Amino acid sequence: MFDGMLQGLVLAFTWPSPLYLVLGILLGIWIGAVPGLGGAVGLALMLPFTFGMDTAPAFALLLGMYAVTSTADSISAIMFGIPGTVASQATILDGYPLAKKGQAARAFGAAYTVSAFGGVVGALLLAVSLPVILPFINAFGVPEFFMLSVLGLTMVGVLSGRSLLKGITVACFGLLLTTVGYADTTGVPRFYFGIDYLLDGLPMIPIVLGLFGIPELMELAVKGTSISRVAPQDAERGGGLLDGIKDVLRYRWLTVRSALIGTYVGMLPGLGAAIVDWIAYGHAVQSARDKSQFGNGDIRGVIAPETANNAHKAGALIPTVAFGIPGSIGTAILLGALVIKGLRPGPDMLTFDLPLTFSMVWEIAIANVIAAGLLLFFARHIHKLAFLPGHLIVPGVMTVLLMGTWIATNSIGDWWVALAMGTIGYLMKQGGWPRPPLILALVLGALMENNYQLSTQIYGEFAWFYTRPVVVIIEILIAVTVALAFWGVIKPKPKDDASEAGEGAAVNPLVSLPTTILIGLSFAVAWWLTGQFEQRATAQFPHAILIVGMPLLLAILINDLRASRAAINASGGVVHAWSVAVRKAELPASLVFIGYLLAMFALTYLVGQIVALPLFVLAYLMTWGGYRWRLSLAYAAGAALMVWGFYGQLMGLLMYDSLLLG
Amino acid sequence: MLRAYKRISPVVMALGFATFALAACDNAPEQQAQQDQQAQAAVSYEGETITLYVGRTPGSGGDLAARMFAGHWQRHIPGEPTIVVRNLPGGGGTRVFNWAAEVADADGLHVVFSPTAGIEAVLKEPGLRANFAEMPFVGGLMSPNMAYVRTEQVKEPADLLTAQGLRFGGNNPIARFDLLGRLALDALGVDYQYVTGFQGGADVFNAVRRGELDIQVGSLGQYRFSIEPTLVAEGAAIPLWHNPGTNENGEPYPLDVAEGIPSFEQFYEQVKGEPPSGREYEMLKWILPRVNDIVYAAIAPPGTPDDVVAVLQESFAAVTRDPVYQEEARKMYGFVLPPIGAQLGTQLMRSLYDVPDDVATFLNNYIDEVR
Repeated sequence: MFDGMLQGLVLAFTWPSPLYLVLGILLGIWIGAVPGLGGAVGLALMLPFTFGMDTAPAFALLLGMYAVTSTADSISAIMFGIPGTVASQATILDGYPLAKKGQAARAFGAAYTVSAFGGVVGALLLAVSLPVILPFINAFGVPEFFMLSVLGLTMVGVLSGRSLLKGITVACFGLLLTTVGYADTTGVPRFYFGIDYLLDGLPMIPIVLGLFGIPELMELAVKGTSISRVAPQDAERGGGLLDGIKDVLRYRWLTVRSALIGTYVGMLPGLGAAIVDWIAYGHAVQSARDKSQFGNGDIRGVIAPETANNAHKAGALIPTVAFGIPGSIGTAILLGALVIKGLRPGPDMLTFDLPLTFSMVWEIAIANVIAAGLLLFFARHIHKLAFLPGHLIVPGVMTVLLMGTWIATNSIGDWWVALAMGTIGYLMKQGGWPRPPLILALVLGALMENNYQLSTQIYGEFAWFYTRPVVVIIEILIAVTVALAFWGVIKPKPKDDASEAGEGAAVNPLVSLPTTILIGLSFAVAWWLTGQFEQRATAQFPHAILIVGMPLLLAILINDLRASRAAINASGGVVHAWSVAVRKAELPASLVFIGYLLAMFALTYLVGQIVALPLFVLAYLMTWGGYRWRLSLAYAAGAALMVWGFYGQLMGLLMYDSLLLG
Repeated sequence: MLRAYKRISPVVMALGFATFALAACDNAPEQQAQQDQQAQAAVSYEGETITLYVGRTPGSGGDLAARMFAGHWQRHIPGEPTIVVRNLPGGGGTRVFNWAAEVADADGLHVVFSPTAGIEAVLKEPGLRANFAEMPFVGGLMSPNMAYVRTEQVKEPADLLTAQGLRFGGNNPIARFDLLGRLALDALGVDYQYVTGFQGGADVFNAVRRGELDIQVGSLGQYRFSIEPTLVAEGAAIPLWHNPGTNENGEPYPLDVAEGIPSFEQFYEQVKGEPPSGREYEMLKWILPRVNDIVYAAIAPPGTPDDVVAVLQESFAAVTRDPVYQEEARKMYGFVLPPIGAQLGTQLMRSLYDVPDDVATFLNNYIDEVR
């Protein structure tokens, strides 16, 4: 085996592999940094170029890119609160608040250091685990996957801040959203209202970018501040790159545990990068003594997911290489690349082709270190964006965000989903509804339903709950997690608990009420439609969700009504209370911002987004930002070039077929 | 040149009418062929860009197949145009066909290359509005598939008939492999349990590997690359049959590329000692060419000029004969995907809308009983 490792190292450094590795790393950094792209898209675009290449350089290129997208995706997560790929969803929870405090550099320092560490540890674990991992993977059948998804869902407890009731209800809402489109078990479409776009279900990227990105951009626009709420000279001490690296040393054991979580979860096919960062984040919160700063800029909230998502990449290669089982689209493309090169996944990769397998391990490790080094270098400059005027940030990032959502299906439906989720996200943020449980539920929903339905088909209705040892172990973990979450709710809290500033902390009952009613209406419609499904398997999951969610929602409604009445009484009347609530939520300006977006959508129907998006940029800068026309025009021209050149020509996205310009 | 087509279309129509009038003459076929050749010779894509639309996400099997094919296709089209691949996923893969039928320009610069929605057309599933019978068929590729079984109960093929409670896994009741597998197993009279809801072929394979399932119907490529080197090499699984092709007369024939694996008819005779028969087999035979023979289809928007379609058809066929393409296909799939010619493809596409009542009733009931 040691010989194989050495030969693999030699192979990784045999010319021209290093050149292609660096090229792959640079492409991976770019693809990871642009929201919505992700490693799978990059791999799909690059794969045809590898057809004519030798095996080792081809994999150097692909793995260089594959390994580092989840390093670079932290740029937009930390700077703008917009996940660059699905693997950095959890990073935004504390990464963006750190940027708001003027500590983006510290977040970058920590993120890139642990990304390198996670990637290297993942690669090492991949190397040592390859020959012995089969029993571990085989121990996880569909019941275990179902229970793991339930365990993942219990993270709602740590993602809800002080609003556990709302957190669970939001999770139910998220689970319900996963039931839109064809039900896998029966092939019957659910909740699609005759809209073709919904037949495949709601795509993840527009939801995530809309739910988190749009409210943050809206806030920047409305408040008229920079991302950092403090000036560079006033930023808290300890907010530099080196401080982030020191943080990693300080929380070294959390880093190690997160790397282990990332690698071993990655080894289980089907549990993707979108899940692993939440699991690692949840672990960071659960294992912390002082939880008060999570959601408000706790560096551990960056360290854990960023370690895990890079380690996950290496772990995910194990089932792909050793058994020919890809766990994601990215690894499926790598599997395709293997077979195109005449390699056979399976025992041969661990015997005859062992040097090549180890060269992949080395390339992943090397790519992670190089990417982290490069990004640490660039981060010295990137973090300064946090101090730029917000109005200069909003139109550019909104353009990237909307084109990022467009990647999902090249459909205007993606924009409507993003805007709808952005509006819901804004109401949730202002009304004290935590948003992360919704994303967690979206990530886990399909996994839960499928694996439950498959478990009952294969193992019967109930027996597997108590006859399978791994299931029982996970059940115990679930019980402990739930008990801890409830203890967290009922135990007395210090008055200065800073988690008040995190997700779900806002207190504005008159703004919470519309969200409650909106979710309540969706629950009611879903209940009515579910009653019309003829097949048990089609209706079972939505019914189960609604049975849990509806009573909780009723409780929230009662709370909201009580709190609203108290607010009205305290303000001396409905009108005054409403005006206070509206002012607190900055509703009028937010609605105007949504109006800008709606106008831009309307323009897209008429002339397409290559014209509409730059016009939005121009209009925003001149009328909202108050900038002069020269700067605004130059900015808009840049936006047009980006939409047309990068997204239209380079990425080959199909633009909207407009009424006037086609 | 192609953009100018729209302007001269009345001329083309007039020429078409004149051609129709000449059909009364005895020497019409020769003249027609001559005119077609002349018209084709006049079509040049020099400096043009053809957009190839795929109804699947980047990185999926359908997407990679299109990208690989596109690289070769552009060399065989007169004028060697640029071909760009664009993804239009959605609606269970039907959106791209709706788009081609309702939105795309019929100018020869827009072509769909995507996994077909044959079963959706036959079952009249929601979402599919495009009518394949009205869309010019450019060319198709068959993606051979096969069935294999774990060896706990089935050491020899004949054991399949005596085994008890085998589990056959799939993706959903209207998925192609699910339907083909159920019909074949029912035709054989196998005692099995149908388990469905897996996310894809790799998921089903993984469940077979863990022992949660016994039987899978999957692509021959997956079998050659993932299953044969692992489960079969370890003695944990054996191949059963491959789904055959269907000739112009509607008769099944074994596929050369599935060497070493009998066709379903051969397998049936081997284990039952007689040719296949029965209601389920008749349905299998009816549905095989319609949902299984053309897996990847290149289809043009309705109204695309005939001479342009002819150029695309000829160039598509030329790719499938190209040794360079064949070599790359062997690397990618383990074999060359058998091509489906324009005539047979057009015939099959039209037959999707000619479903006898008894077939429609059977299929709907057959699917409903497992939903």
